[in-house]
Amino acid sequence: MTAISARNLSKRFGHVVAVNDVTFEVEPRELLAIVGPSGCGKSTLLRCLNGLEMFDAGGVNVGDAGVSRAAISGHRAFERAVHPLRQRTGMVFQGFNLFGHLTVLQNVMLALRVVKKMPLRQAEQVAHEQLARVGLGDRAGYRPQQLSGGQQQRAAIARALATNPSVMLYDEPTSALDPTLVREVLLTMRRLHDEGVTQLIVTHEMRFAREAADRIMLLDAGKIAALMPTAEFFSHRGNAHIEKFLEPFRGVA
Amino acid sequence: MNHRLLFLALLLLACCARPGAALAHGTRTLTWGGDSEGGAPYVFQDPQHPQRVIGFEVDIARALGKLLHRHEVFVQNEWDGLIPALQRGDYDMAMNGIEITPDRAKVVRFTIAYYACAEQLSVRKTNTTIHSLADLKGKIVGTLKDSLAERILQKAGGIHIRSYDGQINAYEDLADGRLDAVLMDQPIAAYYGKPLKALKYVGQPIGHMEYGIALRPHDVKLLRQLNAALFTLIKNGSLKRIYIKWGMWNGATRAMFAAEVAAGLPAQSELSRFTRELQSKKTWSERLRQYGSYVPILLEKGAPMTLAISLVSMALAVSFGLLLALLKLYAPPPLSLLAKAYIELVRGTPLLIQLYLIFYGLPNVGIKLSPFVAAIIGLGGNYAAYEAENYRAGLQAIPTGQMEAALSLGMTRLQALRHVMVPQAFRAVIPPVTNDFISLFKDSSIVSVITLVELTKVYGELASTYYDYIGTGLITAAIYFLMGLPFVYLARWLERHMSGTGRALQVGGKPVNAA
Repeated sequence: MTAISARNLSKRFGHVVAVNDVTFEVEPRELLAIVGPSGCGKSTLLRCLNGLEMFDAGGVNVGDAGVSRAAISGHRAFERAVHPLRQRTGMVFQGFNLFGHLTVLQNVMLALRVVKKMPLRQAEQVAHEQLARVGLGDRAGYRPQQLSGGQQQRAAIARALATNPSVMLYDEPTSALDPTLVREVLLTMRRLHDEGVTQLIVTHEMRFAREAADRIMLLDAGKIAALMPTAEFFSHRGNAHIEKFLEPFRGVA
Repeated sequence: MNHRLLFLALLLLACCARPGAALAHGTRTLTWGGDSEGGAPYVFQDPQHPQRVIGFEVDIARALGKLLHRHEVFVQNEWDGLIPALQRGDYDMAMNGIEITPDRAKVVRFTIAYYACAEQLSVRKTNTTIHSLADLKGKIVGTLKDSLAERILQKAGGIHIRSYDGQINAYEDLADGRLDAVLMDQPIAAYYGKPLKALKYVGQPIGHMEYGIALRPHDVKLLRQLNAALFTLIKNGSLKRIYIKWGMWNGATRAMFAAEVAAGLPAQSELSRFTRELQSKKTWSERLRQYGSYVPILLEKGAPMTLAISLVSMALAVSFGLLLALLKLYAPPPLSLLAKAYIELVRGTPLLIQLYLIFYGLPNVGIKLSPFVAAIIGLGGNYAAYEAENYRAGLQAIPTGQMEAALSLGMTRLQALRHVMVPQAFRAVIPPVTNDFISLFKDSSIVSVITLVELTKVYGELASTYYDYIGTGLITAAIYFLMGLPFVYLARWLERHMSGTGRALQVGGKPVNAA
């Protein structure tokens, strides 16, 4: 059984087709890196997977939950339909998006209390465990703004992990970070990979993709230009898209 | 030493004389002040020719002008301000049902009385329990503010008094059942109470009052002329004819005229005027003592109501405003449009008219609200529109990523609003909302127009009783200022406390300690 899959997914903004008839499957425990030039639609694709973008056609399945756009008309119906997808996925944003009015611990607890209706003690316990998991056990009482960017992103990862999603979605998780802080976030994602968490990561970190990802998806103008195991992707010859994309990284990654 | 006293006395006199008044004497006009909004039969707009004022006092002014060989000119002035405007020199005399009272006689000079009457009690026809003043205990009784009737009711004690600016509203409220009885001057009762089919007179006329023409204290020459003219009009029956024409001729006036004719013209000695002038000047310590005596009255009668109205109205404004903002931003079209229309309409119309509509207009469709409830709905509903715009700005200032993060965690839009958006918007809007509370606190003064007795109403009562708008005004302003201060500091504390750097806050009831 696949962890997450998309069928003929399409999304346009006005005349621009951001995602163009994309179909793929991701197995449980897999780490898929989604790469591609700026504006190729990789962030939009990721945001379609949990319904933050209302896609125009196609469908998404996460575990036992599925949404088919053909069966839905209207924003409200879409919002209701994608709710099960959101409960089965966790998302990490480029800008962290931690809740500024809450402490780090409260950020992690909020969805447990509100969505899962977990008792206070249990929610606190789970939140502490998740913070420990990303190495922030000693920062529970801090405000987000008191933490470094890398710590904030790790707190955001803990927050998404706390509801126990079957798939984690990362939208350029290290792009807003100081180069010295990137490593701690990448290490966290690698550790989660070792623990068996299914992860889809939109990233520009080609070295990380090469070292950690099981498969690479290359998007170009909203279409899948390549989707293959990592080793194959980096050694591939004869695919113009891959060669053009990897050219700047030659000798670096 | 004697010289110095004389010099001081002259200086005082010079200060009292006004260039404007001197100018008015030299001309051939006789200007007189009155309020045509006060209504029939005194001075009012002719229903057939609204640009013309008529009334028994218009007839008297014309008769006086004829005798004095001066052309009489009516000057419109709000009733409450008739005497201050006279003192300011806006007209030569004020004549508009002004009762001769000792308090008023301290600041103006009255002519001999030109009319006498009493107060008349009116109730609904269906009422069988009220027959006299003694039956009014525990009842709600309407009257005009600063009137003999109001003083009679206050003296009787145990009566819930509602003081109105105009008689029409009082009688309508009586007919509607909002009041149990109305006590007003006989002429007013005859013109406004009696014609209403639902009402009836009960009991004997109460009290005795005399109307006089008010003049500035130093206008002795005009006083002598007017007294002589009035004396003539009484003796030759002209005044009686005017009263018969307006249906106002009564026993009290007949008896008073007889007494006035028997006494002859009052003598005016320059000496008595001079000594009076000096006596009326208070020393600073006396004045301060008098001002001090206003404070407990303002604090007891006015301040608690001002505070209650402000706090309850603001609570309504803050909660209803939040609802409006959420509906406007996030509700489906019919509801969001309704919220938008409400905000625009309420912000685009004057609060005063909204209050009139709520208090005096709604009874026409069967909704009778007490003054307090009407004030809360008026003020709270009005400020809710402004709070809604504050919240809207606050909500829209929150980065969209906050909503997306909440949704991606599996929250519904409503849960995201409640737990993520609104708490953050609250912090952002504390400064503007506090500002609005402070201005609501001061705007609460406007509810005095719907018979509510609060600080400003008490100020008006004191000021018009003592003709002292400066002393009472400064003290009332100081009370507003001091009462507002704690809220200013509370707001600052809230802002600091909720801005949120390393402080404990609650989630699910338990505080989490900050590092």
